Amino acid sequence: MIDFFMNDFINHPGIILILGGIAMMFMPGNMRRITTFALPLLALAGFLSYPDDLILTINAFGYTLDPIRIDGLSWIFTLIFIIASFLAAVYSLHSSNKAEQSTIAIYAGSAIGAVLAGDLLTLFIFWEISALSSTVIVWLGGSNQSKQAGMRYLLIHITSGLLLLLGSILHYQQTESILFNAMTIDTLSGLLIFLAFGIKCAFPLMHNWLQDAYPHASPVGTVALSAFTTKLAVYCLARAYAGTESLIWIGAIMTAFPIFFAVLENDLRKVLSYSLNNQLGFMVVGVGIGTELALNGTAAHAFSHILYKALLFMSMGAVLHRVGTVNASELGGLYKSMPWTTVFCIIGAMSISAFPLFSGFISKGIILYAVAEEGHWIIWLVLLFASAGVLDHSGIKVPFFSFFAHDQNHKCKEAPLNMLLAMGMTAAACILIGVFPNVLYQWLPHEMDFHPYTFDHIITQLQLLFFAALAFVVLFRNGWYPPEIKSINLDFDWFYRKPLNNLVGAMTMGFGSLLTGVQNFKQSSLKTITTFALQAHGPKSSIARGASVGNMVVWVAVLLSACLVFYYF
Amino acid sequence: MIYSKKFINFVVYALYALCAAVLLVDVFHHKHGHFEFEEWFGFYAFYGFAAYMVIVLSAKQLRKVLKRDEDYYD
Repeated sequence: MIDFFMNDFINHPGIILILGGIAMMFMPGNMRRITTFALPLLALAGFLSYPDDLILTINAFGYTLDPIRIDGLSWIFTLIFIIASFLAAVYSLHSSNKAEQSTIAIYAGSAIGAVLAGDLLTLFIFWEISALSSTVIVWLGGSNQSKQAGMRYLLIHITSGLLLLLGSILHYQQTESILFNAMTIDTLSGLLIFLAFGIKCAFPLMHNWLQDAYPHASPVGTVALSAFTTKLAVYCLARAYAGTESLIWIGAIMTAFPIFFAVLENDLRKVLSYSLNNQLGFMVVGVGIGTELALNGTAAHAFSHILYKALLFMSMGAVLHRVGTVNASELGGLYKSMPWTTVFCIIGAMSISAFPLFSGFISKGIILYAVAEEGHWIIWLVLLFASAGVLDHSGIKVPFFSFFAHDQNHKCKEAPLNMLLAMGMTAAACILIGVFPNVLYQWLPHEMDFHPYTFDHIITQLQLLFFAALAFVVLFRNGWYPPEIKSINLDFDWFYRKPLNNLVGAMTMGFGSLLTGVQNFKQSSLKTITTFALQAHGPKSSIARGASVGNMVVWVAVLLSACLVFYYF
Repeated sequence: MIYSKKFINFVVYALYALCAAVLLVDVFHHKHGHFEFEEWFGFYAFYGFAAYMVIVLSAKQLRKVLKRDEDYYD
């Protein structure tokens, strides 16, 4: 029995990555590099040694726990998380940042552990490890802004963890089970857990931690961050809240509103963060629809999205590494110095824009089809609108303003070899899935009966994309396209970075004067009390006055005589 | 090379040609969609063009309200 457990835990891909990550902190340079590279492969070997469906049940602390649950849904998310950790590891090989490489392994491991968790306690533990490790990755960005953004990130993710914990406790009280299965938002516990997932999934108005923190991590850090946290949340929503109708609307809003910010944003890694938010919207809509096809769409889109989003962040990370900035207003003409990075970025851009033969086409198409099948025409139109927006901010803006547009004559070297290798592999994966969708479809949780390469699908998608590109040409050539300028744009985080911040400041000041008041009151009242006490009990007070022995004898005699008198009567 | 007027014009005219080609398909081919409006002539083309215009131009208006200096939060 013990052997069985030990075997299962030794092969647990999450635990392999976490323990390996901790060990890496103590390794010298080359050994650490080899481990960085080898760990995801070891995790993959461990994972593939498991059967396709497995539930490991243990009894601990008086609870029945399922620390490992593998089924169709957790299988594909675990697989893509391991692939993402491998690509991030290759991308990080040039780096000598020991802390970052080991933290990324721990972070990836915790996300995998959370996906494999079949109970809320295990989920909570890995949820918190992922929150803490990802905060460290933000901090390792090194700038003052990284420190502050990391602190805000931590506060928000701790809140998410607390909501999950509280929801889980209530859930246990109601159901006497701590297993992590389908839930409903009609109960308080279900709602709290839903909000915990929603924060991590960057629901509208809970989204700013993403755009705030991701652009401030290092080039390597952002690539790692982009893959795990939000897709873990998508997985959890798909696991527990599939078919919850409000998710359809939440998702649709998520696809639409970040686009406008992405158009205006100058920092291209922040543009990609808004774009990430918008892509999550498609997945959330899929969860809300909740049919087998829609859930397949969500899983497939998460898979291809992790790849092309990592690729785009890798290319911008390479630019940041070489040029020192990813502000669109300071970039342009880099295709001459960084031709390979340019090609890889364009492949990422075409994948996210869902051009036929690229990965987005065969995954986003499933979700749109599933939405249409259910007859949600407004949602469908919103998603189509958002698809045109994706072409703008990720398809055109990111590659165009960094590698082409106005030549800024940056003379720099091409990206380091390991970065090119990581980008090359990721780009190849995007095309592989796009050209041979069945490679991905065979791994989806449910039976798949969807054919992306129909004449209608190809032609309508090309009509949408070519005419949207035409709109860009019209806008740009007429000078109507908003210029890239050094600036930031206000978003919902303004509320907690300005008024709330000022309020807290004012409250601290108010609290300060309150404290002084209490101090003063304490001092003055103490003074009164001591004066009074001194008067009554001090050396010269009446109580302290010494009485003579003679007086005492008289009084004793009086008392004794009184006793005698009472005795006789 | 890519900054020469000739090359830029080539790219732009190639795009015009592609747009014309994919729109022309609608003349000869009847699409089958889930919704009736999907089958209208050039629906996807016009919707894509209009959506892109709306996004960029309204974002431009939004910038007037939202734009701040880079050190706004410092």
